[in-house]
Amino acid sequence: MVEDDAVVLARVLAGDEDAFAALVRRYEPRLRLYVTHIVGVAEEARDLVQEAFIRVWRNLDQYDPRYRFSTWLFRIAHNLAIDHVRRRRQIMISLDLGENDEGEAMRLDPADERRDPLGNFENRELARALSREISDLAPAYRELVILRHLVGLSYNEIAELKRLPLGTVKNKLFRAHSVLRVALASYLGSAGGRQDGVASEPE
Amino acid sequence: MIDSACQAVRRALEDGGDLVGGARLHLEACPSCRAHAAVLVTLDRLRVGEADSETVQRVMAALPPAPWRHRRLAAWLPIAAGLALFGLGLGLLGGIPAPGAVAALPGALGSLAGWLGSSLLDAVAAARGGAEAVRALLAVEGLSLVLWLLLTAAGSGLAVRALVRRRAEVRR
Repeated sequence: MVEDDAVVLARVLAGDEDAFAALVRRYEPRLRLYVTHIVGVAEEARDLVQEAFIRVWRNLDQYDPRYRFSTWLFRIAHNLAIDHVRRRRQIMISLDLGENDEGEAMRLDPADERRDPLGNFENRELARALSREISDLAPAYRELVILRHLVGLSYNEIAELKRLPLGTVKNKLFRAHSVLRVALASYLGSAGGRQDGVASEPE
Repeated sequence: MIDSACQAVRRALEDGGDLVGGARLHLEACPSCRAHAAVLVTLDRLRVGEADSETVQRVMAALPPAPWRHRRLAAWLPIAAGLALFGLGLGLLGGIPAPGAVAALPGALGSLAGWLGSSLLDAVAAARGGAEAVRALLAVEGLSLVLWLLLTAAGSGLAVRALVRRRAEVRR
């Protein structure tokens, strides 16, 4: 059974420092995926994620339990990644996490099949198309799709992290899904091809 | 344009709720809404698993000693110091004071306030006396004496400063 973040944090602060490993195990891959999306280079993302965990560790007693732990962690990682990009003075927003011979670009760790977000797709054509279409989304949609479907945050967590109203998050994701439905129509059957829904949703 | 039924069904799909009744019938009859559902199902399969043990060990090994332990200790220090002072006071008094001693406390506090007040008045009187002495000196044309004293003090200060600097440079 997966322990709630708050329970794990309470254990850590009570002196069981090894319990922090459970949080690292839970969030490291998702955090790395998100940071890689911002900085564009997998090796740099790995170091930034480690730095994010160190910052969280240093300030664990200052964590405000009114917010979700995941939101706090992702915001720290987000700020570190943005600072890193600014220092580099080169904005790279990419999903390219190490393309393999088949042109599949979403693998988190090319050496580890288990950590490939597309690993459980038997239809490799669909996997490639999905990877490509998510990369081609407008940046504001792409980030939300990554946070929702790859990182696995809830709508509420995304709203907290991005400091957006919940309704805006839902609307943007609705639009992004509609764009993907049209783009992936040939892989999901002809039904998705109608050009509807994308422009008709209110902001 | 999508109609309101499509809109409602897709909203329900996005919220992850089960479709019942008319919504379910609409989904079965509407290819476009079925495609929307298919996109959501496809995206839901995109999940990253947990970190491997090697990664966890690497991060855990990079963690510094928990600084919040010291901060939490530091937060208790003022209280601990207060309790220690209270205990010391009790020790000096030879235990909890008798009711008679406690009753005498307001009188003792009054004496202390009186002593502080008279000290303040003495300080004011001393300052006033000093100012009068300087005025008297100036009145008997002792201005040059005051200037000489000031210049001597400044010169001595500069000499001491230069000596200290030279000594520091020699040490470095």
